[in-house]
Amino acid sequence: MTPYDDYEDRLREVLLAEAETVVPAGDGLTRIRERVERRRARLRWLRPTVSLAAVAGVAAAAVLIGSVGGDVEQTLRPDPGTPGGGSATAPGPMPTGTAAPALTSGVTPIWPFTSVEAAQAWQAGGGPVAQPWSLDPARTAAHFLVALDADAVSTVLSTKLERLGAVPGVQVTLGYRAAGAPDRAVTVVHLVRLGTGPAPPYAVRFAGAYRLQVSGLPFFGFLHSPTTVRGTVRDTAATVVVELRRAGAATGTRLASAQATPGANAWTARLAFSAAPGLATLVARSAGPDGRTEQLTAVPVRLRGPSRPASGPGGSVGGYPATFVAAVGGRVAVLDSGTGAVRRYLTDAQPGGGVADLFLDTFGGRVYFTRGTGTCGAEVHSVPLTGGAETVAIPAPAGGRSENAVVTGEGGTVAYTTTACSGGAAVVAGSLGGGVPATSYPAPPGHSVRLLGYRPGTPQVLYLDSVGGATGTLRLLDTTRPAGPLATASSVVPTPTQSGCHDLGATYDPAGRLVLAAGCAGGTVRVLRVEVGNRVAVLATVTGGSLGPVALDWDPAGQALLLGADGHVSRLDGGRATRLSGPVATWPVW
Amino acid sequence: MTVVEDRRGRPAVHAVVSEADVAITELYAAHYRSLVRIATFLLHDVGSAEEVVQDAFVAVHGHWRRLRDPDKAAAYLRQAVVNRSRSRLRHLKVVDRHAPAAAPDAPSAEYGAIGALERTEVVAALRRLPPRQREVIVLRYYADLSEAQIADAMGISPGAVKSHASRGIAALRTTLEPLS
Repeated sequence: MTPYDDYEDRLREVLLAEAETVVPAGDGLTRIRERVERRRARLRWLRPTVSLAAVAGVAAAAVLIGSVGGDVEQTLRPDPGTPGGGSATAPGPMPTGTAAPALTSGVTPIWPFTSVEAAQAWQAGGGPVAQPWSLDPARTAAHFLVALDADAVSTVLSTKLERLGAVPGVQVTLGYRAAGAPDRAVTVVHLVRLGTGPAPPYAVRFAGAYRLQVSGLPFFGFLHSPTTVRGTVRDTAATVVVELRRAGAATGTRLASAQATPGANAWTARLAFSAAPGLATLVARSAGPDGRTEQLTAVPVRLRGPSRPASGPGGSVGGYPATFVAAVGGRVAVLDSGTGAVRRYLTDAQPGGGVADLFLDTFGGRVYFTRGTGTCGAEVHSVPLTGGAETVAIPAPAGGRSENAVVTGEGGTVAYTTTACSGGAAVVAGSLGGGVPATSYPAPPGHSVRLLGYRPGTPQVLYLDSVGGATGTLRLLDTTRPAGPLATASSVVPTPTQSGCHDLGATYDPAGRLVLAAGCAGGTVRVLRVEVGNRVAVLATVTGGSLGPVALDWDPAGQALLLGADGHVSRLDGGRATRLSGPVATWPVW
Repeated sequence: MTVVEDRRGRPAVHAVVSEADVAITELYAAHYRSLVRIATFLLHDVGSAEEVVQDAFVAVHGHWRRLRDPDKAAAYLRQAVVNRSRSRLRHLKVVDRHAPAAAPDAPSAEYGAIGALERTEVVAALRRLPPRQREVIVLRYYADLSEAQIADAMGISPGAVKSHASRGIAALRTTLEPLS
């Protein structure tokens, strides 16, 4: 690819990403109909019979289009509460002068708390009296810079409410102000409000800078030691220093620090550390010749420990983990990624209670799964990936079952489904540690829901919504929305139409692109990746698959994909699909 | 053609009108969202963009007897959106002359984290382009139209499309390259 092609592709990608943030209000068709009708009314004295037929015609048209499915549902059934369906959720700053709404799930900040539970413990422990600044976003942002030893940057230049993705919060710009000179912004600190009750505190999610950024590292991206981090800088005379700090209250502790090597508008820095796995903050700051901090960026990362499950207990082969986890004979098993053979079992067989819906919490190093406990009963259990006792993670509700848990990449937040024995399903979002009221989103009567995972770096859960076993529709649930009907809190994910195919499963790759498993005529399963511009890349076609649910899971490095269909596991890597010859295995996850 | 019954159950007496209604609904499902996004790039305001696109749909409905063909209608919609955005922009410029100047803040730092920064920069640079160059860039790189389609939508020659595109892309390149 020539540099020119690459440049044009980037431009295309940027425009498409920006366009995605533009969400029409959803009542466009109604407004057009009203205006057409008003226009007709003006002409009615000329053609008195037109109007009635026209109204019926538009209504009939709506019904016709309604059966097309996909994205159309969103446009024809506007719901002001739906993400992307109403102006209330449109991107962009919210009006100033009001406090940000407090969140109880769906977001992991970096300072001074890293979870809702920590914020609540702070509230209960007299925090609002001891540290009243936590109730003010501007003062919290200033204290954050003090914790990062950048206390010279103390002037708040602006504060305003924002909505980043689906997360409402506040952005505070800090920098320098001098008489007769324009303001100099050093950093923009993005905060959220966490917890419940009368005084929920603010916490920092990240800080960004205009002329200094970290590149190629997603939020909550994994770092292992030693590592090289990269970024861009707009001021070539500046010195860039990169630090790794613990997240949360221990942010004052530096885990590693290095002066970056400058390049053409770019920098690289090599960091070596020996810290335990966990959340951390990567801080990059540029300084002028006088040593004054000019730009500051702080982003959340995760430190990879020596026993990190993504590399598997057996290490790594061919660029992908040597082992994966799947359900074999009603037990959770660790299997060989090359052969599909069982290496060991993590759970015992339990009469009458199999396992399903496996989900690997790579951050916490645990496997979550649905454990059948009887005819109607089921509950979510978990077991450490390195071996240990099976424990109940989410008990079943009275007269029903809990199942199909998925956990955010940065840990801490979980979503699962509950189903009453008498029928009636709901998606519940909450925290893994409990202690925070969970939010429930009841599904429409007759609908069944299969949760597929969190969209990387967001509080949105991808799920397949189906009615009476019919073809499912992919939808995204915004777990920052208040409890209420699932249809209101979620929106349809438009998927490219493949003739003769329908969606059986989906996931996101580590770069955040949607990957679909489409069951097609003739029993084949096509694995598709949705590229920029809604173009489709066919990653593989697997023959002999069933038309039942398909499980998909990328390894965290994005090298290989596991596909589980019809009791068989296939591994996709380097453009090839290899069907593993192990025992019947379902729900494979790396 | 869609069969529509009136209150007495007589079929299809107003078939032409119902065909327009069906067509508008189908066009809405296929193009409304992308047209709003195009207009937003041109106008920098979603509310104005929606009004402009709705205007265009109402106009298509009024001209349906002449258009009939969905491809023609889609081209007409694009043309109408570009033209109406230009008019709206001219009006807004007059209004802007009386608006107070923006504060000397650093607004592009607002979303200055990782990829969002690049996006903010490109969108800001797009806003600084002359209107014709901006239209060509949006229609080519967002709407993915051919040169002929862009020429049709903008009411200019394919040669002029090429010239606007190369100037626009050169201007944007100076924004994107430092971020590489």
